[in-house]
Amino acid sequence: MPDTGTSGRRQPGRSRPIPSPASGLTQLYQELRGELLRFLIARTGNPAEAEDLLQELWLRVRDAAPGPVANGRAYLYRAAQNLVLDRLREARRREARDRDWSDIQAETVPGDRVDPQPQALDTLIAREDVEALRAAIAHLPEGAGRAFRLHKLEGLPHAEVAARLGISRSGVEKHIAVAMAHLRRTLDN
Amino acid sequence: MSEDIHEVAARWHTAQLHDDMDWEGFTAWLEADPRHRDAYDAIALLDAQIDDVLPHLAPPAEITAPPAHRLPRWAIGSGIAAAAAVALAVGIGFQPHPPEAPSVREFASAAGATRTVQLGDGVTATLGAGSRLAAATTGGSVQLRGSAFFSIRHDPARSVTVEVDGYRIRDVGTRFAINAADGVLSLSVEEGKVALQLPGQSTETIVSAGQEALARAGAVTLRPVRVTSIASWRQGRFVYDQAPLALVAADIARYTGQPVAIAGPAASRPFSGVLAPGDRQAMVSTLTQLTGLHADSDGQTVRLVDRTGGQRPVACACPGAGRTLRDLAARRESGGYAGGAGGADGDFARL
Repeated sequence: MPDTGTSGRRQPGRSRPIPSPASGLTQLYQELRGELLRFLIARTGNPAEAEDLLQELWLRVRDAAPGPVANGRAYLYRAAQNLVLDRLREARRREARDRDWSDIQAETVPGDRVDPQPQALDTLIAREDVEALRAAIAHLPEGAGRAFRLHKLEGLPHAEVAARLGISRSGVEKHIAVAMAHLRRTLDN
Repeated sequence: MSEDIHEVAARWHTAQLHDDMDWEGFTAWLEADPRHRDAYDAIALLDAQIDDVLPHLAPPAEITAPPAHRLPRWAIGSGIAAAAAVALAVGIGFQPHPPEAPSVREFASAAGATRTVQLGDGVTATLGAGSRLAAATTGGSVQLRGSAFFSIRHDPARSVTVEVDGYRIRDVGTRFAINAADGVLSLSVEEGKVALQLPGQSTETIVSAGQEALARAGAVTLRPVRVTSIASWRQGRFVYDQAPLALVAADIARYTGQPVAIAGPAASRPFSGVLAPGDRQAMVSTLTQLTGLHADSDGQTVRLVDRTGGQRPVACACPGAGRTLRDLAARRESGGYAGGAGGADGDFARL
């Protein structure tokens, strides 16, 4: 957990996983609606968008396959996070597409279901950056780089990385955070 | 000296993987300064970008294969080496496991039926029709033939590995669906993250909630997937969104218990549509109507062949594709899909 001034006021009673019965997700959503909205406003900085996302979250919860969810609260927050990230990525994609893509679009035949290959386009863009990313990863500080590679590139869980490096899980997370901040700085320049 | 806010953002981002994430603390941190949000956006986007290009970042191999000697014979080496059209024939390739492997439990689902089994503490698998699964009683290692939906409760102390058609899927607490046939793998993640390792490769691709990984011939692509469509057969229908026809044919074969083969380029043509469960003739007939493929039968195996020489992708603008496809098209609109499903609802679409 990040150790910042504002994160210190954790309320233990609220952070506990709330047990949810098989169909309890919708009920949990109702209970947490207020804090989820507050979170989404903080996350997006835009109350209207937050309301919209909350509505989308509700639709997902409503349509979700019934079944027990181990930690309903975390589930709802993560789902909200994913929705925000999806929109963010979509917005970035659209920006990129608006720049680079009008000529490709013009070749499609109206009425055809043409795969515009957003993934392929992303991959193309990513490929230009992938060398930069690879180089940035190679130049990470040693400890951060090792933890980052084991977790991110080789997919080991934090606990396993911790065991391999002989450090605590929170040590691993600190390393990975340092690595991410490093990468962002390098790739921004 | 103040801590780098991107580093703090990255710590929050990482903390989310754990159930003890302090969501109120995160909200408060975001509220404290608008720059925090920008920093978090930058980190989250970077992380997603890294995930996207993971296959190209190939690190040196360090992951060791799990011991396979205690698993049944059919589960060993049943990879893409056997990938021929015949691999779609249900039942072929299975051999009874040797008696010296008592530590493995096997489960099979009959044609036309799904089956839910508990594989251990917090690990549940729902087998699609005509599928088979072997699990070491020690937990952790699962071999699959066919399709299944897994629900695995997060437990930092263990990770579950599923092997199917030579692919390895490593999980750390999540819900995901697998469908594999003929060397083609579809892996859809409903919740959490899983790591996918391709046959003969040492690197892993991380597949996150809301994503589908489609793998074949040593390559993997990631794309968004509608979470409510994942393993739709659990709700009694087969919903496809740009699925390779090899997987569609395999679903029919396993569901009906009768071989359905598709070979050549047609096997990798994408298909979008909804199939109602039925007998082989009905399901194949729906599929041929929607795809323009031709069904040849030798009395035993139905072969789907492309007689148009078609380069045309299988259109979803097919009569009867119905509401589900429109939903799919609507979802893709923001992704830029031109056109979409049209036509009146046909019988098979009303499920």
